[in-house]
Amino acid sequence: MHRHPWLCLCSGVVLVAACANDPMYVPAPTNVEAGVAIPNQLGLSVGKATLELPFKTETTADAKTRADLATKLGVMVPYVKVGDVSVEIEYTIRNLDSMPGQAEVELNGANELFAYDPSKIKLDPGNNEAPPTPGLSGDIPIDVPADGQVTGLFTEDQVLEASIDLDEITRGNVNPYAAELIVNKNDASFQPLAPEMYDKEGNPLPRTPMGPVILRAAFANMIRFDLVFKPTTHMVMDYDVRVRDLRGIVDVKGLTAPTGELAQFGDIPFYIPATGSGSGG
Amino acid sequence: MLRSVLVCAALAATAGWFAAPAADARPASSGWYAEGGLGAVGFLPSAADDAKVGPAMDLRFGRDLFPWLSLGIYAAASSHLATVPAPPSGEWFQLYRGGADARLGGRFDRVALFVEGGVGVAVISSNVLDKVMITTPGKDLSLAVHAGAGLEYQLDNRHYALGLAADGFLEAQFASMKQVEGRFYLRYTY
Repeated sequence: MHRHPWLCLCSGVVLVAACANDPMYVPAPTNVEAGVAIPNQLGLSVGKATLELPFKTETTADAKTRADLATKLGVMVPYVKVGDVSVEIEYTIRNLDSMPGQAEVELNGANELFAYDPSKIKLDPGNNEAPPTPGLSGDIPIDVPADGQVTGLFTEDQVLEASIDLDEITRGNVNPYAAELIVNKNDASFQPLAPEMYDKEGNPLPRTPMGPVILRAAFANMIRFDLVFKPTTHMVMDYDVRVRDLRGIVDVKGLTAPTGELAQFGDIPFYIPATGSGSGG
Repeated sequence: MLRSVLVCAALAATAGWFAAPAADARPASSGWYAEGGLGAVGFLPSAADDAKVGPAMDLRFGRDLFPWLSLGIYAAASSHLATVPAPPSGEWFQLYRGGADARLGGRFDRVALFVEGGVGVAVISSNVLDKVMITTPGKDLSLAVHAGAGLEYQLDNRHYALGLAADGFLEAQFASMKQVEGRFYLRYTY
């Protein structure tokens, strides 16, 4: 065989290809239709869709490893951590109207600790002119031609950024605007801070560190993806989630897997109380 | 005297003509062999709309049992752009095949013709074809059968031959998906 390097090369390429990390596609259970007038209300309908990834139940060995790591780091270590899966969300928007329109797609979701829904979070409750709380990603207007179709994508990098932002907002008490505007996807750790507090004149008070530093090994990855679809004309959005399972924890049967085979997560809705300070619970 | 010489020369020439051995077929080794090939795989209806033609490569090892029969094992891989209704769009998948086959053929001087057929397994790298119900959730393995034909051209070196082959494949568990492969290969016989 050593006399035939091309054979060795071909064998190597086949083996490398066969061992590559292959993606799995999780289709949306249903499409999302929005952009129609709501009777007796101003504005157009907004579509919402939720898809939770089908993770296998945690093995005893995994649970022990996780508990050992949590003891070592002194923080809660989630089952699905950043780096366990790489996720991409692709969507297709069809304009059913004969007029061109625009659509925005906002990405929110949950890790196994907290769920983030910006529509339920008011960063400045007393101010009616305050901008709305941002989503984790997206909200960029997309032109959709009349009777046309466009495709869009939340890339693996964007979903990674969203996952880390979500963890920093919820466990680290980072302001959602700060989390969204700063690139955090390469963070090696973050320091949870005390909730935001303000003096009588409304100026923010200095924030002090709260609890141990959370290392990247304990960053929670998103396990649920919530899409908010906001078109200006009658449109339909179809989407799917592309997962590269780097740790072998996603059930290959996808959403058709029996419920008993899948991990059940009890994520808690995250909110920021009316005091203006961040808190989970 | 001259006439006798001419007659003898003519007889000798005639005898020599008939006595000369027929030209040998180009010598070709027989026995254990290895093949490496490159080609393309395309999908036949009804999967033709769901994946594009893609590059393929094959490795094959076997043994010539008789001049007209050889047995072998093969491993092959091909890569394809999925063209299922979006989403997803622009996604590729790989089809891996492996198994055993038999080849029947004959040699005609430099050229050998053969037909082949075999059975094996096929593995698909992702579930992107779930959307068109070619694959089903959690199933990425199928029984695969193939049959085809080809020709080989023997090079001056008796160990080497170049070949062209075409095969049709059917994967039973992938909604009886069918493909056709064309490949160019180099064969080395030990």
